[in-house]
Amino acid sequence: MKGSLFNVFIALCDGKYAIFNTMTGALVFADEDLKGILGSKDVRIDELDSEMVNRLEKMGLIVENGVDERRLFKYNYLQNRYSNRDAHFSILLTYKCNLSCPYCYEGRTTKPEKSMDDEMVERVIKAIIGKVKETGSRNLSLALYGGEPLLCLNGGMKILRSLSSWCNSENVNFKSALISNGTLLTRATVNTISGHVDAVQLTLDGPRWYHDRLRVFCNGRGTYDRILESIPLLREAGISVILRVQVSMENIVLLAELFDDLKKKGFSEDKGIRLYAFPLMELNPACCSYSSLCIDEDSYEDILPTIWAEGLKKGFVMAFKPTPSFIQPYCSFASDSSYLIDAFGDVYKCVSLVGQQDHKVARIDSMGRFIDVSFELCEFMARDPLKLESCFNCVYLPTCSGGCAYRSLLSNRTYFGKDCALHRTLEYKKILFYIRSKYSDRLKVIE
Amino acid sequence: MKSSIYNICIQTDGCNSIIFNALKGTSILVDSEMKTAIESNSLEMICPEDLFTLVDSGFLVEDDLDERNVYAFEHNQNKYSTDISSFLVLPTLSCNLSCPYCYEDSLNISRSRSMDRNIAENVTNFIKNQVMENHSRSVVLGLYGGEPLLESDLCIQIAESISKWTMSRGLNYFSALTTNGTMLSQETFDKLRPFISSVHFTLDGPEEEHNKMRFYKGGRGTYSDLMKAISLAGESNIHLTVRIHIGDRTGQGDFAKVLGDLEAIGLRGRPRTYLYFMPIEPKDECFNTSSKKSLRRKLKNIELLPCIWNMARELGWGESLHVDAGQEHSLLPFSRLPCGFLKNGCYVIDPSARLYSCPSVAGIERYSVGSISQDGTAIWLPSYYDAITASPTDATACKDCSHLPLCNGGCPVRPSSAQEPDGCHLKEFYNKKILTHLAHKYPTLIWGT
Repeated sequence: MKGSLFNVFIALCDGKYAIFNTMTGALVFADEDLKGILGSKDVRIDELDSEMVNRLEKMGLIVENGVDERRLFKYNYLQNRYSNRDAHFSILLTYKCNLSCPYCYEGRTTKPEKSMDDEMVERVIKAIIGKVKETGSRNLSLALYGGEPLLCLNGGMKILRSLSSWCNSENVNFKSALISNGTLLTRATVNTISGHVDAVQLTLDGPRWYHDRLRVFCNGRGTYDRILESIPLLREAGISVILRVQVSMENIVLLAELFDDLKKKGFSEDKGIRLYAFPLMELNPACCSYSSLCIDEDSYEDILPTIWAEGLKKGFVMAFKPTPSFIQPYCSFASDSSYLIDAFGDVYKCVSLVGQQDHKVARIDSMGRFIDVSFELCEFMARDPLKLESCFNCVYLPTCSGGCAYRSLLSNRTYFGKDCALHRTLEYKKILFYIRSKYSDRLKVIE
Repeated sequence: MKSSIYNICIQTDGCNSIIFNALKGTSILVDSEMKTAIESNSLEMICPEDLFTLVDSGFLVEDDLDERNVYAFEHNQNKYSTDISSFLVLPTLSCNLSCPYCYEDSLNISRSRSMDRNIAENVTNFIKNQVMENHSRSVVLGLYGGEPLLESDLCIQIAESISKWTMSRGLNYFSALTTNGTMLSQETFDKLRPFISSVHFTLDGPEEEHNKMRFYKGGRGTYSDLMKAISLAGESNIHLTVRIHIGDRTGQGDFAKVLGDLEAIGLRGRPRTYLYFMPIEPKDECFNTSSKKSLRRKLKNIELLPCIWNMARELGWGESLHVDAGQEHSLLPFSRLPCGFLKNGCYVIDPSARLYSCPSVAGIERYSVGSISQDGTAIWLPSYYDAITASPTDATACKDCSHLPLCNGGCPVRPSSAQEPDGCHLKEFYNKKILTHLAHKYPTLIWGT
């Protein structure tokens, strides 16, 4: 037997260790001796009782000498990427938005305006049904976004209704989400989407006074109150709410105030409301004039854990134990069965590349077929973390799997590069955070 | 623009060449000037109209395109998607015949073992579990051996259970029985028919030839019994596949005789009937890609096929032949995998419930890649992951080869002793296939001038 390649060792303050396996998600607490054994290339199993050997092997902390764990990873990783089980489509219903958040539009000369017309709505429905039939997927998930998707509510509802009834007749599980700025979620709108949308994601930029400086209507008025009003309406309709909290250089210290306000409103008590923090990123040239707001990616590992800790104080769990990418993919479009379709009927594999014609991977024709499938799709899909030297040797390979392909494209001009920004040290911090939040009182008794 | 790395150039006569693109499966006849222009990337010599055709057909590609990624994507897509789960079950390794070619291979399979009912139950549970785990919409069951009908009760037990289960789940079901035909009585066939979609038979040539090769343990030939079985199955609407072996001495007239016998039992023009011709090869032939002797034999056999196809067509068997490029029994089936069995969701199961990546080695424990436990779950050995994740895109000898999309790296399961000692001969083999295919399809175009 040998210690797993994917064991992460974390020294705890009392001379003990936490050992986390990134391939299996197993976590154990160990003393110096056991740590030595699990880190060894040649585990002397005679030093352990057979029950222990069994348990360690089951958890993937030790493996047979003949096992090439990278092969096992490769199998799981590719099986997941090419699985036909779950089809996912993100639909960019409209490029229009009723807000003028500076980080979104600053630096852009024109605002794109295209919305999906009725004919394209029909084509998209046909295309999705065609794809699901072709691949035999058992689950179909849909995310409607924009721009502000509620500016194209009729088209969105037509898609939701048609697909859910088709899925129902074909025995395919259907789930859908809406990514909205929340300002148009009135009672009437919530009634319309109720029963058709499972979750809505909203975005907050900080406490009210700060948020209202950034997330503004075109006339400059703030949106905080309007967004927060929509949350109880959604919850009454049984719709889950995901609050994305953007983290910038300016708002780090302000977020405690936001969490406090959200707690006062009772949102921390409701299991149907989840929060997550995401750093504002400089993802395209249009961002340049606001790049001063973006956190340097080397600081993520320091800043995000403090925010998770602040959130936890108010009852919001915002970070979890790292999960292998073949269970929870690092990218919504990593799977061969996931696509993004925009208002023009152009098909992409990445939210950050949407609208950039030279990066589209296909388009939907008048018959609702995916045509003009481009080599961009092959390049995106052929990205292989095992062929990136630093990923090949990384203990976080199973959870990160190379990271974001788009960020690699930005820095390396090719998808075939690594991106460690939201991984590596941050994953280590997630494990620490998980241990602290879950085992703080038990550390001493767990051997 | 640049020339595709998957262009294969084959000289046809003094001044013309064929360029075949292995990735797209396209071919073009070019003169020496055009050949030089494409091979040397001197594209300024090509007129815009021709340039468009060359790009459209994949002979030329964009400068920044790495076609290896296209291949890798298609290879992975083919290998890892599990819309179909497929199980080849060997209820027994025994056989009531003693055909010499079956016993001449180097594998030395012990042929006495059969499955028992409990193991068959475990296997059935495994199939159901695995289909669910793979989230497949379609299930393919193959019954194979040995001679599976030596254990006809087990065949029925497994096929009935899977057939009913797939129906209750709304899954597509297709099952094929591969048999030597000698044990297919009306009673057995009637019992199996509701759960079997297709029967595969093999003929070794006309009666005299066949009986020399396929005989009972006592030496009596099986031809007439086999014909009865084919006829019996042919009376139903089941899919029928007849494989006709090409032996060293089988001539054109011999095939005509076989087809005449098949016509006499009503197979000509019968819907759902598939006919293919196949050189007799040792069971472990895939392992011997490097031997020059095997290559010479293969090259000779390839040449025979078009003549046989033409003859079969003239005799009215055209509808039963599936030999166009891309079709299963053609010279160029255009798969992205070296072997249909090395695919996620594809399993070969021997009578002891051991799992294999290849039917040729089923029954030889050292090649097994896992086993089915009593609760119907698989316990995989590391060799399973080694075999299934092996990719020719990682192999130094294959990753830049123009023929990669045709041969797909060859068999990665073959024993290491069989690794090419003096290089790969598959290029020559595939060049011959390409030429033969094209000459068959466009005889005047290729050899006309």
